Amino acid sequence: MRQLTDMALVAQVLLLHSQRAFGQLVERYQSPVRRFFLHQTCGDAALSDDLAQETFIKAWLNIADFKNLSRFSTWLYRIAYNVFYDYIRSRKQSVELDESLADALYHTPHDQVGRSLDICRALRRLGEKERVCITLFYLEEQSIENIAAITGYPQGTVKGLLARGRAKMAHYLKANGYDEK
Amino acid sequence: MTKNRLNEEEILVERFFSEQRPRPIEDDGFSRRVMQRLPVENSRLDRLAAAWQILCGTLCVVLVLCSGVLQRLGRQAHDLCGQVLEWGASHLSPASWPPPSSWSLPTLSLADIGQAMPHLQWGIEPLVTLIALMCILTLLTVNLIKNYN
Repeated sequence: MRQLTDMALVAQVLLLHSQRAFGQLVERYQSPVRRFFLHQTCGDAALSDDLAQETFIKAWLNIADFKNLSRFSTWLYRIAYNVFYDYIRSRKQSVELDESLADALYHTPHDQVGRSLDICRALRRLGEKERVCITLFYLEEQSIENIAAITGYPQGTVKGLLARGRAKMAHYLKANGYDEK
Repeated sequence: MTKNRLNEEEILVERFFSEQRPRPIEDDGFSRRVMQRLPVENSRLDRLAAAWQILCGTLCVVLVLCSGVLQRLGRQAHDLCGQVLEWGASHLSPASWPPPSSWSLPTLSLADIGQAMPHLQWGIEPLVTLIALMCILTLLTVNLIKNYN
Protein backbone atom coordinates (compact mmCIF):
# COMPACT_ATOMS: atom_id res chain seq x y z
CA MET A 1 0.00 0.00 0.00
CA ARG A 2 1.28 3.43 -0.89
CA GLN A 3 2.53 5.38 2.10
CA LEU A 4 0.85 8.71 2.57
CA THR A 5 3.17 11.68 2.86
CA ASP A 6 3.47 13.52 6.14
CA MET A 7 1.58 16.44 4.67
CA ALA A 8 -1.35 14.25 3.53
CA LEU A 9 -1.60 12.79 7.03
CA VAL A 10 -1.36 16.23 8.66
CA ALA A 11 -4.11 17.49 6.33
CA GLN A 12 -6.35 14.59 7.43
CA VAL A 13 -5.68 15.38 11.07
CA LEU A 14 -6.42 19.07 10.51
CA LEU A 15 -9.54 18.73 8.38
CA LEU A 16 -11.14 15.54 9.70
CA HIS A 17 -9.56 15.44 13.14
CA SER A 18 -8.49 11.95 12.12
CA GLN A 19 -6.96 9.99 14.98
CA ARG A 20 -6.04 7.22 12.54
CA ALA A 21 -3.88 9.60 10.50
CA PHE A 22 -2.26 10.96 13.64
CA GLY A 23 -1.60 7.37 14.76
CA GLN A 24 0.36 6.79 11.55
CA LEU A 25 2.45 9.89 12.24
CA VAL A 26 3.14 8.64 15.78
CA GLU A 27 4.23 5.24 14.46
CA ARG A 28 6.45 6.92 11.88
CA TYR A 29 8.20 9.27 14.31
CA GLN A 30 8.17 7.42 17.63
CA SER A 31 11.66 6.04 17.08
CA PRO A 32 13.53 9.30 16.33
CA VAL A 33 11.66 11.23 19.04
CA ARG A 34 12.26 8.59 21.73
CA ARG A 35 15.89 8.27 20.64
CA PHE A 36 16.30 12.05 20.89
CA PHE A 37 15.12 11.96 24.51
CA LEU A 38 17.22 8.89 25.29
CA HIS A 39 20.32 10.79 24.27
CA GLN A 40 19.35 13.91 26.20
CA THR A 41 18.55 11.93 29.37
CA CYS A 42 21.57 9.63 28.97
CA GLY A 43 19.53 6.48 28.55
CA ASP A 44 16.62 6.89 30.99
CA ALA A 45 14.05 4.89 28.99
CA ALA A 46 11.05 5.51 31.26
CA LEU A 47 11.64 9.27 31.39
CA SER A 48 12.29 9.36 27.63
CA ASP A 49 9.00 7.61 26.91
CA ASP A 50 7.09 10.00 29.19
CA LEU A 51 8.64 13.01 27.48
CA ALA A 52 8.01 11.50 24.03
CA GLN A 53 4.34 10.91 24.93
CA GLU A 54 4.04 14.51 26.07
CA THR A 55 5.60 15.62 22.79
CA PHE A 56 3.05 13.73 20.68
CA ILE A 57 0.13 14.95 22.80
CA LYS A 58 1.32 18.54 22.37
CA ALA A 59 1.67 17.92 18.63
CA TRP A 60 -1.94 16.64 18.54
CA LEU A 61 -3.24 19.64 20.46
CA ASN A 62 -1.27 22.21 18.45
CA ILE A 63 -1.31 20.68 15.00
CA ALA A 64 -3.24 23.71 13.71
CA ASP A 65 -0.07 25.74 14.39
CA PHE A 66 1.92 23.67 11.88
CA LYS A 67 2.28 26.08 8.97
CA ASN A 68 4.19 23.87 6.53
CA LEU A 69 7.12 26.30 6.60
CA SER A 70 9.36 23.43 7.63
CA ARG A 71 9.18 19.65 7.45
CA PHE A 72 6.84 17.93 9.89
CA SER A 73 9.82 16.16 11.50
CA THR A 74 11.53 19.51 12.17
CA TRP A 75 8.34 20.86 13.76
CA LEU A 76 8.06 17.72 15.91
CA TYR A 77 11.70 17.96 17.02
CA ARG A 78 11.06 21.58 17.97
CA ILE A 79 8.21 20.48 20.25
CA ALA A 80 10.42 17.71 21.68
CA TYR A 81 13.18 20.24 22.34
CA ASN A 82 10.73 22.55 24.16
CA VAL A 83 9.29 19.65 26.17
CA PHE A 84 12.80 18.68 27.26
CA TYR A 85 13.66 22.23 28.29
CA ASP A 86 10.36 22.59 30.18
CA TYR A 87 11.27 19.39 32.01
CA ILE A 88 14.76 20.66 32.82
CA ARG A 89 13.33 23.96 34.06
CA SER A 90 10.76 22.17 36.19
CA ARG A 91 13.54 20.14 37.76
CA LYS A 92 15.57 23.30 38.26
CA GLN A 93 18.48 21.79 36.43
CA SER A 94 20.77 24.24 34.75
CA VAL A 95 23.73 23.14 32.72
CA GLU A 96 24.63 19.56 33.48
CA LEU A 97 22.38 16.57 34.13
CA ASP A 98 22.27 15.81 37.82
CA GLU A 99 23.56 12.71 39.48
CA SER A 100 20.15 11.05 39.90
CA LEU A 101 19.61 11.20 36.17
CA ALA A 102 23.06 9.78 35.56
CA ASP A 103 22.33 6.97 38.03
CA ALA A 104 19.18 6.15 36.11
CA LEU A 105 21.44 5.10 33.27
CA TYR A 106 22.58 2.11 35.27
CA HIS A 107 19.20 1.23 36.76
CA THR A 108 17.05 1.47 33.63
CA PRO A 109 19.16 0.39 30.72
CA HIS A 110 17.41 0.47 27.36
CA ASP A 111 17.96 -2.18 24.70
CA GLN A 112 18.76 0.37 22.08
CA VAL A 113 21.15 2.27 24.25
CA GLY A 114 22.91 -0.91 25.41
CA ARG A 115 26.25 -0.60 23.73
CA SER A 116 26.00 3.16 23.59
CA LEU A 117 27.17 3.49 27.17
CA ASP A 118 30.23 5.16 25.74
CA ILE A 119 28.04 7.64 23.91
CA CYS A 120 26.26 8.51 27.13
CA ARG A 121 29.50 8.96 29.00
CA ALA A 122 30.88 11.09 26.22
CA LEU A 123 27.69 13.13 25.94
CA ARG A 124 27.73 13.83 29.67
CA ARG A 125 30.89 15.87 29.08
CA LEU A 126 28.88 18.32 27.04
CA GLY A 127 26.63 21.17 28.04
CA GLU A 128 22.93 20.75 27.25
CA LYS A 129 22.99 23.00 24.21
CA GLU A 130 26.09 21.31 22.85
CA ARG A 131 24.56 17.88 23.50
CA VAL A 132 21.36 18.78 21.66
CA CYS A 133 23.29 20.06 18.65
CA ILE A 134 25.75 17.15 18.59
CA THR A 135 23.07 14.45 18.87
CA LEU A 136 20.83 16.09 16.28
CA PHE A 137 23.76 16.51 13.88
CA TYR A 138 25.58 13.20 14.24
CA LEU A 139 22.92 10.77 15.44
CA GLU A 140 19.73 12.13 13.87
CA GLU A 141 21.51 13.44 10.77
CA GLN A 142 19.82 16.84 10.85
CA SER A 143 21.34 19.69 8.86
CA ILE A 144 22.63 22.83 10.55
CA GLU A 145 19.69 24.72 9.06
CA ASN A 146 17.25 22.24 10.62
CA ILE A 147 19.02 22.34 13.98
CA ALA A 148 18.70 26.13 13.93
CA ALA A 149 14.96 25.79 13.20
CA ILE A 150 14.53 23.20 15.99
CA THR A 151 16.46 25.04 18.69
CA GLY A 152 15.73 28.57 17.60
CA TYR A 153 19.45 29.46 17.66
CA PRO A 154 21.03 31.32 14.75
CA GLN A 155 22.98 29.06 12.40
CA GLY A 156 26.27 30.65 13.50
CA THR A 157 25.51 29.74 17.11
CA VAL A 158 24.72 26.17 16.08
CA LYS A 159 28.05 25.93 14.25
CA GLY A 160 29.84 27.29 17.33
CA LEU A 161 28.08 24.83 19.65
CA LEU A 162 28.91 21.97 17.29
CA ALA A 163 32.58 23.00 17.18
CA ARG A 164 32.82 23.26 20.97
CA GLY A 165 30.98 19.98 21.46
CA ARG A 166 33.17 18.28 18.88
CA ALA A 167 36.34 19.52 20.59
CA LYS A 168 35.15 18.25 23.99
CA MET A 169 34.14 14.92 22.49
CA ALA A 170 37.50 14.56 20.71
CA HIS A 171 39.32 15.35 23.96
CA TYR A 172 37.30 12.72 25.82
CA LEU A 173 37.79 10.14 23.08
CA LYS A 174 41.53 10.73 22.94
CA ALA A 175 41.76 10.54 26.70
CA ASN A 176 40.03 7.15 26.54
CA GLY A 177 42.22 5.80 23.78
CA TYR A 178 39.72 5.94 20.91
CA ASP A 179 42.29 7.59 18.63
CA GLU A 180 44.52 4.54 18.92
CA LYS A 181 41.95 2.22 17.32
CA MET B 1 48.47 23.08 11.95
CA THR B 2 45.20 24.23 13.63
CA LYS B 3 43.26 23.23 10.55
CA ASN B 4 44.85 19.79 10.71
CA ARG B 5 43.90 19.46 14.38
CA LEU B 6 40.30 20.45 13.64
CA ASN B 7 40.16 17.98 10.82
CA GLU B 8 41.56 15.28 13.05
CA GLU B 9 38.94 16.01 15.75
CA GLU B 10 36.20 15.98 13.17
CA ILE B 11 37.31 12.63 11.75
CA LEU B 12 37.64 11.13 15.24
CA VAL B 13 34.16 12.26 16.35
CA GLU B 14 32.64 11.27 13.01
CA ARG B 15 34.18 7.79 13.29
CA PHE B 16 33.01 7.40 16.88
CA PHE B 17 29.41 8.27 16.03
CA SER B 18 29.38 6.17 12.87
CA GLU B 19 30.41 3.16 15.01
CA GLN B 20 27.61 3.91 17.44
CA ARG B 21 24.95 4.66 14.83
CA PRO B 22 21.62 4.08 16.62
CA ARG B 23 19.17 1.48 15.35
CA PRO B 24 15.43 2.27 15.13
CA ILE B 25 13.60 1.76 18.42
CA GLU B 26 10.86 -0.88 18.33
CA ASP B 27 7.39 0.52 18.95
CA ASP B 28 6.44 -2.05 21.66
CA GLY B 29 2.98 -0.53 22.14
CA PHE B 30 4.27 3.02 22.54
CA SER B 31 2.06 4.39 19.72
CA ARG B 32 -1.00 2.66 21.17
CA ARG B 33 -0.33 4.19 24.59
CA VAL B 34 0.04 7.64 23.04
CA MET B 35 -3.25 7.25 21.15
CA GLN B 36 -5.01 6.16 24.35
CA ARG B 37 -3.73 9.23 26.15
CA LEU B 38 -4.84 11.72 23.50
CA PRO B 39 -7.28 14.13 25.12
CA VAL B 40 -10.81 13.45 23.86
CA GLU B 41 -12.39 16.69 22.88
CA ASN B 42 -15.39 17.56 20.76
CA SER B 43 -14.10 17.66 17.27
CA ARG B 44 -14.95 20.45 14.89
CA LEU B 45 -17.15 18.00 13.02
CA ASP B 46 -19.08 17.14 16.19
CA ARG B 47 -19.61 20.80 16.99
CA LEU B 48 -20.83 21.57 13.45
CA ALA B 49 -23.18 18.58 13.50
CA ALA B 50 -24.59 19.60 16.90
CA ALA B 51 -25.14 23.19 15.72
CA TRP B 52 -26.82 21.94 12.56
CA GLN B 53 -29.15 19.64 14.51
CA ILE B 54 -30.10 22.41 16.95
CA LEU B 55 -30.85 24.70 14.01
CA CYS B 56 -32.99 22.08 12.24
CA GLY B 57 -34.80 21.14 15.45
CA THR B 58 -35.62 24.76 16.25
CA LEU B 59 -36.85 25.31 12.69
CA CYS B 60 -39.16 22.27 12.94
CA VAL B 61 -40.65 23.48 16.25
CA VAL B 62 -41.17 27.04 14.94
CA LEU B 63 -42.85 25.78 11.76
CA VAL B 64 -45.17 23.47 13.69
CA LEU B 65 -46.11 26.25 16.13
CA CYS B 66 -46.67 28.83 13.39
CA SER B 67 -48.82 26.51 11.28
CA GLY B 68 -51.51 26.27 13.97
CA VAL B 69 -51.51 22.49 13.76
CA LEU B 70 -51.37 22.14 17.54
CA GLN B 71 -54.45 24.31 18.05
CA ARG B 72 -56.38 22.33 15.43
CA LEU B 73 -55.29 19.05 16.98
CA GLY B 74 -56.37 20.36 20.39
CA ARG B 75 -59.79 21.32 19.03
CA GLN B 76 -60.14 17.91 17.39
CA ALA B 77 -59.21 16.16 20.64
CA HIS B 78 -61.73 18.28 22.51
CA ASP B 79 -64.50 17.52 19.98
CA LEU B 80 -63.62 13.86 20.04
CA CYS B 81 -63.89 13.68 23.82
CA GLY B 82 -67.25 15.44 23.63
CA GLN B 83 -68.51 12.97 21.08
CA VAL B 84 -67.29 10.01 23.11
CA LEU B 85 -68.99 11.31 26.23
CA GLU B 86 -72.19 12.05 24.33
CA TRP B 87 -72.15 8.64 22.74
CA GLY B 88 -71.48 6.97 26.10
CA ALA B 89 -74.30 8.85 27.80
CA SER B 90 -76.82 7.83 25.14
CA HIS B 91 -75.74 4.19 25.32
CA LEU B 92 -75.60 3.59 29.08
CA SER B 93 -77.05 0.16 28.78
CA PRO B 94 -74.67 -2.30 27.14
CA ALA B 95 -77.64 -4.21 25.80
CA SER B 96 -78.53 -1.27 23.63
CA TRP B 97 -75.05 -0.94 22.14
CA PRO B 98 -74.91 -1.29 18.39
CA PRO B 99 -72.98 -4.19 16.92
CA PRO B 100 -69.18 -3.57 16.68
CA SER B 101 -69.32 -3.50 12.88
CA SER B 102 -71.22 -0.22 13.01
CA TRP B 103 -68.71 1.54 15.30
CA SER B 104 -67.44 4.55 13.39
CA LEU B 105 -65.43 6.40 16.03
CA PRO B 106 -61.91 5.95 14.59
CA THR B 107 -63.06 6.63 11.04
CA LEU B 108 -64.84 9.75 12.18
CA SER B 109 -61.91 11.20 14.10
CA LEU B 110 -59.28 10.52 11.38
CA ALA B 111 -61.54 11.96 8.72
CA ASP B 112 -62.16 15.00 10.88
CA ILE B 113 -58.44 15.59 11.40
CA GLY B 114 -57.87 15.22 7.67
CA GLN B 115 -60.61 17.72 6.93
CA ALA B 116 -59.37 20.13 9.55
CA MET B 117 -55.85 20.24 8.15
CA PRO B 118 -56.08 19.87 4.40
CA HIS B 119 -53.14 22.24 3.81
CA LEU B 120 -50.87 20.10 5.98
CA GLN B 121 -50.54 17.51 3.25
CA TRP B 122 -48.82 19.85 0.84
CA GLY B 123 -47.78 22.77 3.05
CA ILE B 124 -45.72 22.52 6.19
CA GLU B 125 -45.55 18.74 6.49
CA PRO B 126 -43.09 18.03 3.63
CA LEU B 127 -40.88 20.85 4.83
CA VAL B 128 -40.79 19.52 8.39
CA THR B 129 -40.15 16.00 7.06
CA LEU B 130 -37.32 17.31 4.87
CA ILE B 131 -35.67 19.09 7.78
CA ALA B 132 -36.01 16.00 9.99
CA LEU B 133 -34.47 13.89 7.21
CA MET B 134 -31.57 16.34 6.93
CA CYS B 135 -30.98 15.97 10.67
CA ILE B 136 -30.93 12.19 10.40
CA LEU B 137 -28.64 12.29 7.37
CA THR B 138 -26.25 14.62 9.24
CA LEU B 139 -26.14 12.21 12.18
CA LEU B 140 -25.48 9.25 9.88
CA THR B 141 -22.72 11.09 7.98
CA VAL B 142 -20.99 12.17 11.20
CA ASN B 143 -21.10 8.61 12.52
CA LEU B 144 -19.77 7.22 9.24
CA ILE B 145 -16.85 9.67 9.24
CA LYS B 146 -16.12 8.90 12.90
CA ASN B 147 -16.15 5.16 12.23
CA TYR B 148 -13.79 5.66 9.31
CA ASN B 149 -11.43 7.59 11.58
